[in-house]
Parts: sequence; structure tokens; C-alpha cells
Amino acid sequence: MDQFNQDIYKELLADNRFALWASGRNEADDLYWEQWKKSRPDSIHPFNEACRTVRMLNFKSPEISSKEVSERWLQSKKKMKLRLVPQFSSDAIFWYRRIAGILILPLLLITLWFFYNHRQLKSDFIRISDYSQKKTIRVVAPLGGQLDVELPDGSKAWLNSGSEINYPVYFAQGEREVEIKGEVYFRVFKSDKMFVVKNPGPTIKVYGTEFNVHAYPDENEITVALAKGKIALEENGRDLMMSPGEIAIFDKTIGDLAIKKSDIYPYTCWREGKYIFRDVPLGAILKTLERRYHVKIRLDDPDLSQFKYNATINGEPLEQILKLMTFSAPIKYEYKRYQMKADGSYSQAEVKLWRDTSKILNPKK
Amino acid sequence: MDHGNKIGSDNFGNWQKFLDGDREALGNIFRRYFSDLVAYGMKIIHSDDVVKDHIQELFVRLWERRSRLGAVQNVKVYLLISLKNDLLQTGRKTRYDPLNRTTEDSPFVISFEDFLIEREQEVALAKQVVSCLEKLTARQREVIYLRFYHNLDFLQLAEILEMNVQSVRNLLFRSLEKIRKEVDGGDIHHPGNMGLILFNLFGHKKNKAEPR
Repeated sequence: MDQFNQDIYKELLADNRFALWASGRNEADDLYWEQWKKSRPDSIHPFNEACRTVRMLNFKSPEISSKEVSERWLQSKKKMKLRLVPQFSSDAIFWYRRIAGILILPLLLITLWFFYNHRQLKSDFIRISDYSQKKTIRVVAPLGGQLDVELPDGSKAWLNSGSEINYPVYFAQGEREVEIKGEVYFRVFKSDKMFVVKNPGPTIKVYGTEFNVHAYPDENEITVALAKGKIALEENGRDLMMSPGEIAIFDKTIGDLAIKKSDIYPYTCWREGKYIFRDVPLGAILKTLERRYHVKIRLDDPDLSQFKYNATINGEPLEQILKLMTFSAPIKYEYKRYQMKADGSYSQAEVKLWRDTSKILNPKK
Repeated sequence: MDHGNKIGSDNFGNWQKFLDGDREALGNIFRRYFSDLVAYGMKIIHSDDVVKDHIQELFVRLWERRSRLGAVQNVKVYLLISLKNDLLQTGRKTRYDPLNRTTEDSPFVISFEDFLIEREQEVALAKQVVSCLEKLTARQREVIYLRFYHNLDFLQLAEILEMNVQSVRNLLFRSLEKIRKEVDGGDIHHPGNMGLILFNLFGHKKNKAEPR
């Protein structure tokens, strides 16, 4: 199968609707997939391969009667009644573990920090800064990498390349506040305490929800995309509410905040390694590539940055992406790989793009 | 790409009620996921009694510690991870069997009995797939099982396997490539295979496990 077909094959196998149908567990979709095949006749080959793969891996459920399940549940319930764990000792163990956990982390991190201080390889590093009363943890995702962080209340934050989050070691009474720069996807654990995200744009306030913040200090536009729950954005002293399926765009240069309904998948798919660009100027795409692949990209002709693209990037090697770009825009590129320097460290990879004057311009403004 | 989660409720409501003290809500969760947990657990520890006992213990502990639990994003994933950690710890304790020394910490075993076989033709195929799976690593078997039996998406797989999403994708697709190449390497356009596949897809009804 050539490269193109592989993508369809993988897309199908990643799709639960397809997997359930292909294994025979959802005949209701027979018509849907028939129509899918009719409308995409050149995808029949990968489609059939995907079907074959799913059929090969058709596992069965263990044979357990519902009687047995009910009996085991009754047994479990009996054990729940019998075991009267004294409240105090189990709580003490819980707190002991929690405090020990909090101590182990700083010690381990300090050790790692010394160890990795010299290296410039792709490793995640964490710095602990001591602000007057409360210890604050600062986590930075390096360029070219991503990482996720679990916050003190069980909430989770996914950091995209070149992003950072600052949060206290524990959340004090009545509030949960973190500070970020860059692009972070949050899954906030539901609680009575408001969760506050300070960032280069409008402060975000939530109670329990999932959303993506895109707020790099070197970009003019800051966006927030809401997947679940409710968010309030603070602007000029008042709170603007957002509902799921909406995005907020804040323009730093003019201080304008707009909220509108939108497909939010392009704003959150980076966690899966995908980037979707719809009508995005080349300049912005290059910035994303710089961060994601940790390269320096130079555009010799600044006018080129206005060209708008529709593109989906799925973790392909950078050179492949650059090559594809030259097919739809009058540009040429030169790619210099990172090299090991005399002292053992690595220089950054560099890309130069310039206008290809031999091609006919195809302005897509 | 979310359909797997929508088919059959994800028990979010039951989990909330359980946290609020409703034990029967926990019972609903137990009944809903018991079979899935057994299927997964038995890949790690190959005795169904041990696995079932552990699952019961898990639920008893959940009940006792409910005041310290919070909302979970996906109940099934949470339970799978808890069970996995549980079984791995047990496995380490009992792994002093001099006759059966394995170097792998957590062997994930898929055997012939794990395959759904409805017709004669499928027996040979299943045997081939099993022998392929044996040549893979435990992790590769696990990602395949979690993807195609439990239908977890890549974010969920990343959580259970403690890898990042891109690595999970690579892990899954590379293992599938190995299987595809070895099993009946025939060309899909061969009329025999085509007929078999079409027949399997559209030629039978019922007797399939309910959507999970």
C-alpha cells in the first residue's frame, strides 16, 4: 500500500464506529459503510485491509452468567458490611502517603535537575521555585515535545511544545489557581472551588470542565476552545460565559474578545499529534512547526507568510511536510539537520524558505 | 471517533451516585464492567478465580474509600487501570516459582480460546494469528487487545499504557503490520479471500456479543 492508502487504513482502524461495525457488532451501520465505499471508490483497498485486520482480531467475551455476576456482587456487598475500617487509622494512612508523596517529588526532581542540567536532548525538565510562602512548581514542555501534568486536585493539564504551567504544590482553601503560557489542554476535576487559569489573555474561571487554551506570548491571537462544561472569561472586570462547542478569540493588539460557535476539534487534536489548519496564513503554520519540531524557520520573503493554507499534519517528518508545501505555493526550501557540536551539545535544525520565482503565483488571499 | 464511548452508557451518572453513597449504583457499575474486567485481567493473571476475587476486592475498596475519590473521566478506563495495578503487584509477589521463571514483568497472554470462532474456516486463521501474537511483546499484545476488544481510543490507550499518543499509534500500527504480513499473506484481491471476507461481514447475524 502506498503512503496515501496507509492514512485511510489507519484512520479507519482508529475509528470506533468502523471497528464495531467491521467486527460485526453493529449491523445498523451496514448502509453507512456501503455509502462510504461508494463515495470513495479509490479507498476500497485500504478499507478492505482494515476490515480484514479487524476480523483477524475478533476477540470474544468470557462466558460469565449473569447469575454468577450477581452472586459475586452480593459477596462483595457482604464484605463491605463486615469490614468496619476504623476511620482514623485509614485516614492517617492516607495523609501519611499523601505527605510522603509530596516530599518525594521535590527530592526526586532536584536530583533529576542536577542530572539533566548539562544535556540538551529532548527530555522534560521541571524546576521548583520557592516563592515567599507557598512552593510553586513550574513545568515546561520543551520545544519539539509535549507532556502532561497532574495537578494537586487531580485535574490534568497537557502541555504542547514550548508551553509552561506554574502551580502551587497544594491548593489552599477556597481556590485553585494556576498560571500558563503557550498551549495547554485542561481537564478540570469538578469541585466547589473555582479553578482559575491565568494566562497572557483573559483570565479563565471554571468549576469542572475540559478546554484548550492557546496563548503563546509571541503570538497576537489567543484562543480558548471549550469541550465540556462551562467557562467564564474575565474581561474588563466582568465575566463572559462560554458554552461547549464555542471558541473565544482574543486579539492582543486591539484588546478585542469574540466568542463564537465552532468545531473545536482543530483546537484540541494536537494532543493526538494532529494539527489541523483551516485557512491559516503560512506564517502561523510555520510558528507551529517551529515549536513542534524544534527547528528555526526563516522566511526570506515576508509576503509569503500571508499565503493561506488548508492542511492536516499528522506527525509526518518535517521534510515531508515542507515538500508538500512546495506543491501548493511558490516556495523552495532548504533543510539543515541538527548537528552535534564539538562540545557534545546539539545545534538546532534550520529551515530556510524563499520564493520560487520560476512558479506562477497562485494567490490564495 | 467517539462512537465507542457512546454505544452503551459510560456510567458517569452511576459513578456520581456511588460517590454520593448509593451502593446500588456501584452495583450497576459492577454488573456492567465485570465481564470486561475479567477479560482484561485474565491476560495478566491466568486464573479466572484469582482475577474475579481481585475484582471483587477492588470494588469493596472503592466503596470504603469513596469519600476520597473524585469524578473520573471514564469509569471503564479507571477500573481497567486499577485492576491492572492490582494484578501486577500480586503477580510480583507470587513470582517466585523456580520452575517458571519469566523475565517479563507483566506477560500479557492472548490464547486461542480468546478468539471468537463461528465457522471452520476461522479456526486456521485464528491459530495463525495466535502464533503471530506470541512473537510480539506483551505491550504490543496489550495495545491490540485494548484497542480491538475494549475499543479504547488513543488518549485512553496512552493513559493505560503510560506512553504518549504518538508512541501508542506507532506501537499499534507496527504490531498490526507484523500480523498482516505473516498471516495468510495473500493479496486482498484474490477472489478466495474476498469471498471469505464478504461472507464473514454480511453473511451472518446474531450470536455476536453485545456492543461493549
